[in-house]
Amino acid sequence: MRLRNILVNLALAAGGIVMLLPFVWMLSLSLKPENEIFTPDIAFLPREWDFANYVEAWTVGYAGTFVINGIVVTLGILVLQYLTIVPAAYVLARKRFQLRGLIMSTVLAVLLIPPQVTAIPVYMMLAEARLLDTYAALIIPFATSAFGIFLLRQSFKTVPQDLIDAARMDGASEVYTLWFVVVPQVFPALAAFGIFSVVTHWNDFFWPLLVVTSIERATPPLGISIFASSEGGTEVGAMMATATLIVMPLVIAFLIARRRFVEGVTLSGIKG
Amino acid sequence: MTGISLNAVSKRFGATDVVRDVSLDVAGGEFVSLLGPSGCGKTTLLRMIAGLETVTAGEICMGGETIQHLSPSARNIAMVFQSYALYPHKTVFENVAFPLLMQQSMVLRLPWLRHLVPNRHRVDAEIAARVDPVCHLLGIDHLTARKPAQLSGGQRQRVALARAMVREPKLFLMDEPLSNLDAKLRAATRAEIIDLHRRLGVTFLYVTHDQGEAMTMSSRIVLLNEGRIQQVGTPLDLYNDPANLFVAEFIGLPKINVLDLHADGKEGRIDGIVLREMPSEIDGVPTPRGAQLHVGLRPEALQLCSEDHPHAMSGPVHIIEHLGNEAILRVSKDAKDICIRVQPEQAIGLSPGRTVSFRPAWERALLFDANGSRLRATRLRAAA
Amino acid sequence: MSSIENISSPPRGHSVAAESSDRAPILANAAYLIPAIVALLAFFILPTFVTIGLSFTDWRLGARSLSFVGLDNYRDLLASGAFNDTLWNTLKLNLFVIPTSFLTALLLALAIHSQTRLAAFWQTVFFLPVTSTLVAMAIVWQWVLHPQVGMAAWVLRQLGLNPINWLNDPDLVLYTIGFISMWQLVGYYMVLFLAGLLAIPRHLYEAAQMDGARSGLDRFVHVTWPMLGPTALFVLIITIIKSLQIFDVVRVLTKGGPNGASEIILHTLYQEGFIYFRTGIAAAIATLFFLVMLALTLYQMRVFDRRVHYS
Repeated sequence: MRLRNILVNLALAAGGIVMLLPFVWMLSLSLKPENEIFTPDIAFLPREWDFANYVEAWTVGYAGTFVINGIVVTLGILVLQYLTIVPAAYVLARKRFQLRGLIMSTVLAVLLIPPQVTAIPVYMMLAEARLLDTYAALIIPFATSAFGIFLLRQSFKTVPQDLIDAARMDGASEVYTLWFVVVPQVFPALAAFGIFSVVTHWNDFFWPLLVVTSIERATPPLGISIFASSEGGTEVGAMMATATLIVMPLVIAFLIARRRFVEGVTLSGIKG
Repeated sequence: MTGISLNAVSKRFGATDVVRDVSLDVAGGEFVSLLGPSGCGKTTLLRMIAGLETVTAGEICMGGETIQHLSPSARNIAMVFQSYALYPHKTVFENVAFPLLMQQSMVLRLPWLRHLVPNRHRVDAEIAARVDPVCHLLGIDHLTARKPAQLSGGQRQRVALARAMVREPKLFLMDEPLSNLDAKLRAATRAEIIDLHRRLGVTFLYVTHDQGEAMTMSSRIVLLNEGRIQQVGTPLDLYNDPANLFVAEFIGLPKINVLDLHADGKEGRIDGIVLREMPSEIDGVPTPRGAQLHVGLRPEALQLCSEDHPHAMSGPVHIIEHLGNEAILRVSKDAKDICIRVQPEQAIGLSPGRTVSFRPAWERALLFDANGSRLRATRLRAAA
Repeated sequence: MSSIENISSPPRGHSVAAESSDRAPILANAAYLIPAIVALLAFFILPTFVTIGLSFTDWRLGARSLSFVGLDNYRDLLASGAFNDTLWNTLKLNLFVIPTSFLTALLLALAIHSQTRLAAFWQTVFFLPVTSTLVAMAIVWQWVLHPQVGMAAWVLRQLGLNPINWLNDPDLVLYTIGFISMWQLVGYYMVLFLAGLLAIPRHLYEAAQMDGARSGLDRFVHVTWPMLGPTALFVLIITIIKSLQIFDVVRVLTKGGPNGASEIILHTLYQEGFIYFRTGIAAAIATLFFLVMLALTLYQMRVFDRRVHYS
């Protein structure tokens, strides 16, 4: 029994090394001067710690721009999504009206559409509005999320009607009741969706690749891909420093809020 | 003191009439219970008064003014919900203060943003000055920093009461407020609510399905069934002088015994016992020969007797309930279960299976026609 | 924000009472619903129809005119050798990625589930790549696998083997891409399996043990696998959906090369639509892709529904 346990853990450790290897190698390369990178010998720790790569990534390169763009875009999307999803999900969960069935079917239908299918017309629309290569092009197409509406509607259905009635008796307006009485009750679902949304859009590559051409507007994945194709061959250290800087925010957040992250990211299982 | 009056109020959900043509006058300061089985419309009626449901037809007036177009909060009515409906994310203090906070300006109501308002401290102090005495009165002042999840059922109940009281409403609505408490706490809280009513002196409307609560707490009871008022009266009125068979059967524990009576002209027969002076007409229609009437006999209107008494009925005892100060005998008779309330010593020595004889106290019998309406004019008199 | 301010302060005095339950309105709280509905229509529903419509035209991005060509785009695509290669590559990649990641994730979940103290630790380790930016990590993998200075080359040298050019060998490139994709997502599938394993009641194992199921294999065959059935099907469909959507690694590391050896469907869609601007062709590819995904997602929703009912 004991032996088998050790074997299982050894196997997991072997797999774990493969999982962690790129992270370690990324950090290692990002701290090495160029002459230590281009050598056939392998050393995890640099002989000579060199933070110049980070300085270069931030000042000469665009690492800071990528990170800031990433924050602007993900938070912009998230705020817009909350503002559109919360009221819609609330009404769909708690009100009776004639078009409800039709609207719910629309929401479910959107869940079936993969993002690559809508790309061409949405791109045309943004081109027509002269919005290509702007933050708006990165944010507006994701202003709402059918998945978010679907998810939040389920949560809103579990809020007791008495609570909403009590708030009305106490003199709260409907908007106030929604945002300050009902919304706090579904905080876990909101947090899970928020993590899902931020992780998805921070890491999204396809859409920024289409609508952004200038490096000043590049989100983290697009930014590093431009870096890699332009000077990746020579500036490996700076590139690895950039990679570290754009990978770390989510990795650190994950390590802090492990359970919420797993919950939020696996949510997409319902969506695919 | 403000009372409330309902004038032909009805409520319809789709095709179902939930409340039908309810008219009721409640005087200021009264404690009135809305009693009835589940689905009788009592909660809907309460919610219409609260403003949480629209009124399909009819009028609701408070202090002589119609209120049904007012929003719930504009009616100056407080409500204690069955589930208490405490805001789980707010502390006890914040829960109680919530109705007062909602009376402030928009910015002051917003979390975080309110810190920008310069006179915030003065407003907060005013709110605290009203919240603290209420919490003190209900004995929850040591709990004000807690969240509802950290409270016991009884404590949550008090917080719900405090939140209702803090606005100093003219009318208190309570929707089965004791149903989530355990039996012991329920009795204690019952007494506290009566005490609270006396101290505040405002009108209480109390919804319950528990006749014990309604009987002990209220000055008057409104008994509802299928959306209609069956009877309005004091607890003793409903018990002693029920308007119909439904009221007679709903009020009283153990339930009233109902025997079938064959009317035969001026005579009636129950089980071979001949009754004289039967009503010759009911609602102006001559009583047909062989009409079925119902006689209601409360368990204390039956007494044990010797088997040779002229009006003796008999049957085997199948359950004996010793309650200490009295005993209840359940006797099987013609597939019916007859309940007899007896002195405790009368039950000693009886064992299930023994046949006992009993006779009705005719002067306490209640007569109902075939539709269940009470025939008040008729006193039953047995032939010698 | 001003719209919210407006809704929030209904006229005092004679404000609206309860929502009428007597007759349902056409749209309750239009202001609550319209932003979401407009966005759903503008960015999802309409574009999908436009894409399908464009797939029957010869439109090129930016062109002034277009004409209806019927099914020509589809016919050309299916007749073209290049697109058949794309489909073949996509199929090869998926036939490698789907079973491998499914089985790896299942084994990982079983192994981690058997651990008591280290379960949380291993879960963290294997889930870490899921949250990381794949594009950045793919570039890192490129340097791990670098034929001269990469770690993989070093290991091979230590073993006395010749270094392998993982990303430039036409026979290997698809598997390398598949491996990097799996590296990222296997932890995700594992977590889904773990949730399914956690839902299996303990007492079933105890009962099986009482009934004589002694070995771990017995327990797996008679309890774990049957109870895990719905989860397994669910994970399998997600694996297919996610694998069909592989794009980032190809775009960043190979751009379909060398010599078209890693050209897969989404990359072709991107090239046709946004590099060569053959919008009609791209729309036809998107439509075909949509149909496959639609079937899979509909099936997945059914499975999910059932899974919810069972739990």
